[in-house]
Amino acid sequence: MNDSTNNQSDDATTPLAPLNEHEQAWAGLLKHTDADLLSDSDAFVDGVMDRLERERGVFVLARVGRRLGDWKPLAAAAAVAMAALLGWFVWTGDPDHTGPNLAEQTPPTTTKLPGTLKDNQHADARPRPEDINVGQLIGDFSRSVTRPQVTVLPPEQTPNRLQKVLSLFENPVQDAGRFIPQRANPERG
Amino acid sequence: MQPKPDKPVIQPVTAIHASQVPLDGADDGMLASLVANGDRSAAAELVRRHQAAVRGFLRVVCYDRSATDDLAQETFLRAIRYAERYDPKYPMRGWLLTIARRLSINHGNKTRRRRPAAGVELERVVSDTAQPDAGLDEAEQQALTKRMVADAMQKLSEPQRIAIALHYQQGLPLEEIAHRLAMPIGTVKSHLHRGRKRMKQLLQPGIEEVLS
Repeated sequence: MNDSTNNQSDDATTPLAPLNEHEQAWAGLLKHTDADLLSDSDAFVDGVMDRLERERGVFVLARVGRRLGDWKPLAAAAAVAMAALLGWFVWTGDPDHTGPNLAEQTPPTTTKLPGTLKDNQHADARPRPEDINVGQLIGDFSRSVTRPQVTVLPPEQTPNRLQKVLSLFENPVQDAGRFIPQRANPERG
Repeated sequence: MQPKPDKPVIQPVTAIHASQVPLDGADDGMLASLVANGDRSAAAELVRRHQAAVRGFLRVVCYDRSATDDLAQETFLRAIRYAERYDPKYPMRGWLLTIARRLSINHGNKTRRRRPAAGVELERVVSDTAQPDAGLDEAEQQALTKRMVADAMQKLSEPQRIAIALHYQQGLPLEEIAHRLAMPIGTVKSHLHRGRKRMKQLLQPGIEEVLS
């Protein structure tokens, strides 16, 4: 058998050696078309077209996407829209509301301006001006700013130093020696 | 006041509709442009015209025999989706085989761990066919031999297998194979040379008896 493949060159300009008998045998088997490839060609075509129909949505989306070009601006616009919608929900505090609807809001029941004493429900809890006693207010104020009063004995009940000394003569202290301080060195006289 | 002329009817590009063009004589470039405009009949004609080549190619290059028809369907679906990318300077078959090759490589990468040990199937087939009293008729003998060749192809490296399939099975010229595989012609020849040498080593024991 002619072993032509052993003399092959990798050079692009060198023509590829022809197949020898052995190689022609297996190459012929490679070329041989299986019978089932011809017999079930219609079924295969139908299978491809069925899959194409099933994937038609994806097919259309892919084409639309390619026609639209770059997807990044679309994605950015969608993100901004979502952020705006989320911000609206947060601001309104009611996710059920889909937008401002002033007609649904209940109008105020009174046309009087707020802030007057008569309309203020807390006004009754406060003292009215005519009920305020100015003298009592001043007295309370003066008591709050004066120093706390100390109980002062009358002068005749206040013991002065002389009375204290005289009282000692009248009632001498028992065991008074214990109050005399001891000398540190009694021998020095 | 003159009546306003009717607006031209613009066919939606995304719609798949029946073709009003006779497709039998349409070349691949016209077929691709019709498919790109959503022509369903043109898409069916494209599949019908090239299904045998694509399926046969995948049966040779794909490890997973059971997945070849799924991969062939996916090949045509992609070709229909991206029909506007087809370059009519090159034959449609080469473009389709390029898509099929990429799908086969991706599928092989996913299922490589489940692939059976190479050579086991081949040795079993060779031993079966080498027995003189196997009791097989001619058709069965040819089927077994074909299976043996296909199993030998699986033992080649991927570039060798694809180069041999494109050149010796599909008959694509070396220049187009180099263009499709994005490699120099010399490299294509190198893959073909080494692949042929490897096929000889693999098939020498059994095929000579069968083919003699």
